[in-house]
Amino acid sequence: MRRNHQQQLLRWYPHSWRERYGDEFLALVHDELGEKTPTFRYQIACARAGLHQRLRAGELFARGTDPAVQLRSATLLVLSMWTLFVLGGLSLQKTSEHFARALPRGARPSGQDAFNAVEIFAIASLAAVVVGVVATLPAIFRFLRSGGWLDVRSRARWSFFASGVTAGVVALVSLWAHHLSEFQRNGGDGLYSAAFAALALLVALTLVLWTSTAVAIAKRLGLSRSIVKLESALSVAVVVCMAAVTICTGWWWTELATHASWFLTGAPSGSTSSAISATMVVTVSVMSMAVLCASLGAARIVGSWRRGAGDATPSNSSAL
Amino acid sequence: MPSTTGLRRSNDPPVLILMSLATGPKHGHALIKDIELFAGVHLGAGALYGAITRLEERGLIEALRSDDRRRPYRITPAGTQALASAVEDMRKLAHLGASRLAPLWSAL
Repeated sequence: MRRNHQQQLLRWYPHSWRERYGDEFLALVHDELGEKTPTFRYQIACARAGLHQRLRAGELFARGTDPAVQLRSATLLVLSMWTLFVLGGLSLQKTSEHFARALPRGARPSGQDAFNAVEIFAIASLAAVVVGVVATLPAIFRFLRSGGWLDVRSRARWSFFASGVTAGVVALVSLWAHHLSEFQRNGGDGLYSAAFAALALLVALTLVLWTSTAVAIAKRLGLSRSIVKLESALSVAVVVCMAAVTICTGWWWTELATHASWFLTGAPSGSTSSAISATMVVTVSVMSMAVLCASLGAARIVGSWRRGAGDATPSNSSAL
Repeated sequence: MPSTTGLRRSNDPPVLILMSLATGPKHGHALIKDIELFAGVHLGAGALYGAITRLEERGLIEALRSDDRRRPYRITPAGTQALASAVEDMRKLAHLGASRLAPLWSAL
C-alpha cells in the first residue's frame, strides 16, 4: 500500500522520463523513506520536479546547449501561442460582425481601415504558419513512413475525432441559424447562444488538440538546420504579425468606442454605453497574453541567432 | 565580475553532484548522503533527479551498468572540465569577497 503511494510520485513525470529514470527514482525514494508514506511536502517537491520535466519533455521551454534545440523549442512555443491567439481572433471575428453598419457614415473609413489592417496582418500570420508547415512536409512524410505514426496516433486520433464532432456541430448550428432572425442569432435566443458557446468551446478544444499533435510530431522530426532556421524566421514574422493584429484591434476598438460604443455591449442602437465590453476585454487580454508569451519565444530565437550556430559548443562551465 | 558560469551558486545541485562524483561513482542515495556531508545541503529526490537528467543530457555525467535498481553515475571528462571551470569561478568570487571584506575586518 505504502509502496503504491511512492509509485504514485512518478505520475507527475512524463512517460519517457519514467522509462529512463523511473526504477532508480523509486529505489531512491525507498532508500530515503523506507516503507513510510511520502509526506505532503515530499509529494509537492516531486510534483514540482515532475511537472518541470513535463515542460522540458514538451520542448516548449527546452534549454539545451544546442542552438538548433533552442530554436526548435522557441518555434514550438510561438506555434502554441499562435493557436491561443487564433482563439482570440475568432472571438474578435464574431464580435465585429456587421460593425460597419453601426458606425456613422463619416467614421466608417477609419473604422474599416483599422479592421482591414487587422485582417491583413492576420492573413500574413496564417500565411507564415502555412509556409512553415509546408516546409516540414517532407520530414513529416519521412517520420510517418519510418513508423513514427505509432508515437503520435493517440493524439492524432483524438484530434480527428474532435474535428469530426466540431464539423457536425457546425453543420447543425448553421442549419439552425438559417431559421433564425438576425436578432435571435445575436443574443436574442438563449438556446442558440448556448449552442454557439458550446461550439466555440469545441472549436477551441479542436485547435488545442491539433496544436498538441503538431508539437508532438514536430519534436520528433529530423529537421535540417536550414529548415529549423527557416521555421524560426517564420516564427519571428508570426510574432510581429500577432503584435500588429493586437495593435490594430486596439485601434478598431477605439474607433468603435468613439463613434458607436453601444455596438460593443449590444445596447440599443445609438444609445450611450460603455465601450468596455466583457467580450472585448477577454478577447484583447487573450491576444495580448499570447503575444507576450510568443515574444518570449521570439526573443529566444533572436538570442540563438546572435550566438550563432558556430557557437554551438558552449563553454564547459556554462553547460552547468 | 563577469561569471562564465552564469552566476551559479556553490549550492547549485548540478555543481554539488559533480563535486560528489569527483571522488568516484555513486548512486542517488549515496549522492544525497555525500552532499549532505560535505555541503550541508539535503537534496530531495525530485531536485536530485532533475539535476541528474540535465547533467546526463549534457554529457557531463554518465550512468554505469548495474544489476541493481540503484544505478550509479560517474563524472565524464567534459563534466570534470565543467566542474573545474565552476570551481575556478567560485574561487575568483571568494577571492573578490575576501579582498572587499578585508578593510571592514581591519576597521572592526
